[in-house]
Amino acid sequence: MNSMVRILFRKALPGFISGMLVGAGFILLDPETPVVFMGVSDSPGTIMYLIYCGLYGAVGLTGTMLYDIEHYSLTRATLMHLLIVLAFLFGLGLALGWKPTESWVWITVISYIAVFLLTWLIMHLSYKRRIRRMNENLKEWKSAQKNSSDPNV
Amino acid sequence: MKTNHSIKIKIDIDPAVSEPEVIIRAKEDSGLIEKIVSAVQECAGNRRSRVAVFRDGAMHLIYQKNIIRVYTENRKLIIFTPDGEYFMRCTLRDLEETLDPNWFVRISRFEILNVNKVSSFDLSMTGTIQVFFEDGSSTWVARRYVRAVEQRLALPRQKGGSGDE
Repeated sequence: MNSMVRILFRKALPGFISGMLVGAGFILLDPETPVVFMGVSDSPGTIMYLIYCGLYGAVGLTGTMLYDIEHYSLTRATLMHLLIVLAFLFGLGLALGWKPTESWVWITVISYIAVFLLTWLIMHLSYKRRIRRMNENLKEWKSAQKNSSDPNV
Repeated sequence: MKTNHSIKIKIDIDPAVSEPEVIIRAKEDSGLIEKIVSAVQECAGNRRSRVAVFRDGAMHLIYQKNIIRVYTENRKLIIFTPDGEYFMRCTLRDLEETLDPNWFVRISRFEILNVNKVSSFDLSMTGTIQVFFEDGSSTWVARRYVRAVEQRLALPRQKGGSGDE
């Protein structure tokens, strides 16, 4: 139970707040956003839109816990995170009446894939660089161990 | 709960003996023996040099420097060395506290490795961080422990571990 509460406060809650803030930011940029995504323009509809954005943020950030699963490779964690985010986005979207035939729906899917692919690539390159440095440090470390060895070692 | 064991102690002073020798006689191989060995080693000041491990029901003392990696599998603590696998009757955390911190570093929730036995690190295409050992075996490092490995390798060079041959 404690771990569930911890997850809620460390991931889901900040994700929910961030999601709502991003959703509100979209409204500031284009007041018609709730109409495009939810098909509503009244106040309750806007609140629903913000709650949806919050839930989406919560799912997205909680999904980052997949990267903490030790036996998951970077590719597996990224792929599963992408699938969860897309499933939530389109599961609720289709329930709200989104039509898969509309081009913007597919543009959104492709954008998500592109963002996750880019994230994976950046992380992969970052680890590659760190591992190269680790191998260099390992050589130095071993040579220092040899040099510092004494008869009692 | 603390258990009190009755132990007979016999001291034999012999001028012909060059260095103190401790012989443990018991009816069976139990956890108590492991504790006595640890206590004696601690008194001798070489607590970190060797660890008491088991194989085929017999206890062996192995030098820490010979350990390649230590990992838990099916709730068993396995000590992997060039001579094969041994077992221990304690937790990974307990063992971690007795291992030489200059040489050993945790690489996942289930595993600790001896940096001195590492041949290289590599990143697979799927993004798994692999470790290859000098004996040809390999394992992987959990992403959250990469920083710990980096820090171990980047530490100011200290005098090597205390395991002696």
